Amino acid sequence: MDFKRQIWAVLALFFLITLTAIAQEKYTISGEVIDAETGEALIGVTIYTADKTVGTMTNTYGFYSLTIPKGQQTIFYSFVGYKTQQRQINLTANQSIKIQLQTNQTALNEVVVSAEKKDKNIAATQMTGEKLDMKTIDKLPVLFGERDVLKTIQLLPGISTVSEGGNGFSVRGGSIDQNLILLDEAPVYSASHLMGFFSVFNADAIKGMTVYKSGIPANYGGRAASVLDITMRDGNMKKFQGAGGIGLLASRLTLEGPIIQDKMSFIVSGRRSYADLMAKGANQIDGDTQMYFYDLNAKLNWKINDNNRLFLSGYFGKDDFGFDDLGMDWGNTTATLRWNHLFSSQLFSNTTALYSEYDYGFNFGDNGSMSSGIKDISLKQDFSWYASPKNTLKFGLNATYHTFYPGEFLFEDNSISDIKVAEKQALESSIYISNEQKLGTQLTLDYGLRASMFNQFGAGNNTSYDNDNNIVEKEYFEKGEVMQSYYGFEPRIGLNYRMNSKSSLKASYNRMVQYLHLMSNSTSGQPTDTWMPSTFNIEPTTVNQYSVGFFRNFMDNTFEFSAETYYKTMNNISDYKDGTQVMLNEDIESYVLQGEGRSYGMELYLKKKYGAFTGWISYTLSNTDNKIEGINNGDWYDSSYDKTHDVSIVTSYQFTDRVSVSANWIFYTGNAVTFPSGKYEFDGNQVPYYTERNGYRMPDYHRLDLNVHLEGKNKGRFRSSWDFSLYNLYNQMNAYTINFRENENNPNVTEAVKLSLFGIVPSVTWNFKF
Amino acid sequence: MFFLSLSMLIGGSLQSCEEVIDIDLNDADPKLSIDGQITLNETATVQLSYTTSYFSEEEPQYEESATVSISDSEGNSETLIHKGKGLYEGSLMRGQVGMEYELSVTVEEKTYKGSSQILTPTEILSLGYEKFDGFGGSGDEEEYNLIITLKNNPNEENYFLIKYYLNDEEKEDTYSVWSHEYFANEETIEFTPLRFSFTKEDVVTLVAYSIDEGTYDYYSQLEEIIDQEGGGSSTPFNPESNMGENILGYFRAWSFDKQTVQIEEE
Repeated sequence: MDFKRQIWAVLALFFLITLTAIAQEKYTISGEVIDAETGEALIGVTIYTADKTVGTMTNTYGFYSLTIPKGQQTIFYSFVGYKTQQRQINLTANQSIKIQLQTNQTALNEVVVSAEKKDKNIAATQMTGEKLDMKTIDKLPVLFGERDVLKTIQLLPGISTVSEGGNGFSVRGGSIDQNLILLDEAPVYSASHLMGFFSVFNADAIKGMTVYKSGIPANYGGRAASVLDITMRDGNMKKFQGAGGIGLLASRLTLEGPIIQDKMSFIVSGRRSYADLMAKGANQIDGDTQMYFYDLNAKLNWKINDNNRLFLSGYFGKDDFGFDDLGMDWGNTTATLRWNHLFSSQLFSNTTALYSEYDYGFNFGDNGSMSSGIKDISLKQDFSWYASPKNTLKFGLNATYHTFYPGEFLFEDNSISDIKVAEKQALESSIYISNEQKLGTQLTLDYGLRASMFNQFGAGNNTSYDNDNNIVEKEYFEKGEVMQSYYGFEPRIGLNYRMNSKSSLKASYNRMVQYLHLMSNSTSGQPTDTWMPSTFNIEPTTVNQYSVGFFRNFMDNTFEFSAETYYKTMNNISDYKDGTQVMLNEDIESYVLQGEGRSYGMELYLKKKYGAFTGWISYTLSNTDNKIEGINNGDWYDSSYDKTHDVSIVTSYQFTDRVSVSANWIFYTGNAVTFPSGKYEFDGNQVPYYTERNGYRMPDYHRLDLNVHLEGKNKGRFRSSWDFSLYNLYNQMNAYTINFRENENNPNVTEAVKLSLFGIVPSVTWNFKF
Repeated sequence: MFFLSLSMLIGGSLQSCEEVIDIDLNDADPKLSIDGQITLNETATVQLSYTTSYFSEEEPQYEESATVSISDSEGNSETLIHKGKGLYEGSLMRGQVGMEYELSVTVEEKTYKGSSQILTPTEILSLGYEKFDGFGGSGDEEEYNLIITLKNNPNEENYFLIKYYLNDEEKEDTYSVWSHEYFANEETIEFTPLRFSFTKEDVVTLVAYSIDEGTYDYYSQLEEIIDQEGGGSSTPFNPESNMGENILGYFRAWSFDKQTVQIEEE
């Protein structure tokens, strides 16, 4: 009842908005903004009038719509790394204007060359939707010769590395499963290759990404902490081209080009590692050992006409490890089919059908095999309605059918009974509506509401357990019967107050509801982790977050500074009872303990965007703790994701046109961990005695990386470059784990053993483009 | 475990490094630990001691003034006698097949009770070996795995604890636990433990215990925290005792069979 009332209140607000926008005679200009050289749609291009009173940005598909008064108008189109374009128009009717922007490097004598709108960070409503384009990522030091978008975002304030080499990351105290990672709108359930040393995102195939850690727009949902929205490139519409790289651990090749000039294009990008071949060469591993990953990104992009556009994109990746007939593999498959349609110059529609799958399997040779995974089929409809210069509405709906395969063990020997954990099914659906509203010239509001619903379906059992994990009662549900339902009401509000041309104040509130849970014995994430729905026993996680930030630009926008603080409360976060076996555990639900969490922190960020010397300093001071009945006597304790200090210094210096050097330094407080506070003897073993969970800290972590980038001489259209990198330059032996064990030679002596993964690691990559 | 050794391998091929470090740990208040057992055809023994600081190399403090008694499901009981250094021994009651035993320990007016059952004893029917190519092969020396065949009782919810001893060493090299769930309906069961391998010169002794479900759970948990090699990321804990809450250790009733094997020259 309360729920309904709230919905009506919000809807009423929307009506008010649309009513206020009348009066003066106005027309709409709309169209797309593309790269002049490649035809690739540009995301986030700012479009504004000469007096800067009215403006907008291109959406994920490069589309924009701007409604302005009739008559003589000058419109500016500006984007980082491109020359700003200016159009004079005499507006007497709705008009479609397609813009081709030239990159800064290739100077052509076209229209106007003026400064781009450098104060975008001040003007944009987005609280913390940090956009990263590949040009920024290109300049950062690489790990093992591969650029990596996931490694890069971990250098931003509020986003922290969970474990060395791992791709699991934590956003503002959230756990690794609270990040929604989207690749062309398809969720990617496991974003890492090779035990987390590489991410699954092949940088050559990526156009850019946006990270949201607060003020998350209403069109995103399903995860509690953050959204990482990654867009694949569309492929060159004008000419055929290729790019690639040969590195010590992996090589890659990308081919793209038009199928029909300016109408249809493709891009195919593949990558394969050969760590196993290298290790064999060095006699580190046996001849029969396999250890590699590969992935393939492919996309087809078809502009049917000015009002219709189709995209088909897919990702296929696999990791494979094996010794003789023993092996393990895991991987993601995603496929997205999208249809962009313009109902009018003010109403943009996107229809998406998508498929996403993650699975892993073990092969035990003659003994049997094991597998587990999750599969999603999803339909989505999104609308953007550029209602008036002051109001941009977004609304849509989404339905995802999840199938969970928690795990099965099949024995070769038929006399041994297979172990199968029952499959689970659920439908997650949502509707949302939001409005970006400009109030005067200084204040912009972005408010919206997302209503979500989660239904778990049979066939299956709702099982009740006692405190000792024994089954008390089982209630059986037929196929298709609803076993459990949950509802979420998720308001999102963002506010941007532009104090002057240099500074702005932003504030936001969002509530996020998460219905999926990652069952994992580790904090950093492993391929064997299993996704589970919210069930009769496990409730959805909800997070409320309040955030306030101050943004200021210095020295003619050369420097950007921001200070943000946040406070977050988390409900129904999960931890496990002592000694829980996650894998193949039919009764895993009875081992999950749920409780509350809180996180608060301050993030400082200073960035130099222009000049030969660029880079940023980011510092986060935060605290995250949990309170869960059954752990540490139900008292507050440090979360595994609690990092007091987290510092990243990222620098890049362009010495000449052909030589640039970049370096980054990282420091963070060690994770909260559980160490023993005593020992005792049992059956001849020295057994550690534990008194509290997460009562200790790992040693602080720090590391310096260096990268030298050499651009080759241009030979016709063929270009090449070299990257020489040193990871962990001063060979800091950071602790990956600290284990407590008996001394091998003297079992009466117990010792602490630190394991470090990487000392200094050099790497070389040769990149090419044609 | 398989997975963990994989991650170690990758770490290994990228020059990972292990070192013993100094670390400051808190000293918890000493806590009582009960290490009790009764074996088929033998009398009961119970060791009572207190926890020490983790890096201590001295003997722990022993509980020497406890009242310790054992009783069986037929109503027999016996008080165990303190033999020094916290070791209590029985002299009358001997373990019998099918019998459930309860151990009772009273320290400073607080009583801890736990029980365990001796199930049908297993037999090692054969103990063979095969060449093992290794998880990537660490050295030049050839390694071998055991092929173990045990007698199983398909009508019983039985479990096995296998200890592997190398060259007459007093303490086992490692152990593993197996559940009947993997071997339903079979009179004999055969398996090859991958976690234990040995070389040509080694003399291998296998002790196969027949254990009940509680003992299986306890040793499974124990294995996780004393063998953290490479893992370490999951949250460690104290294995759950059957002697009550807030107490360490375990009381088990079991039987065992023992056999030795060595590689024969070809």
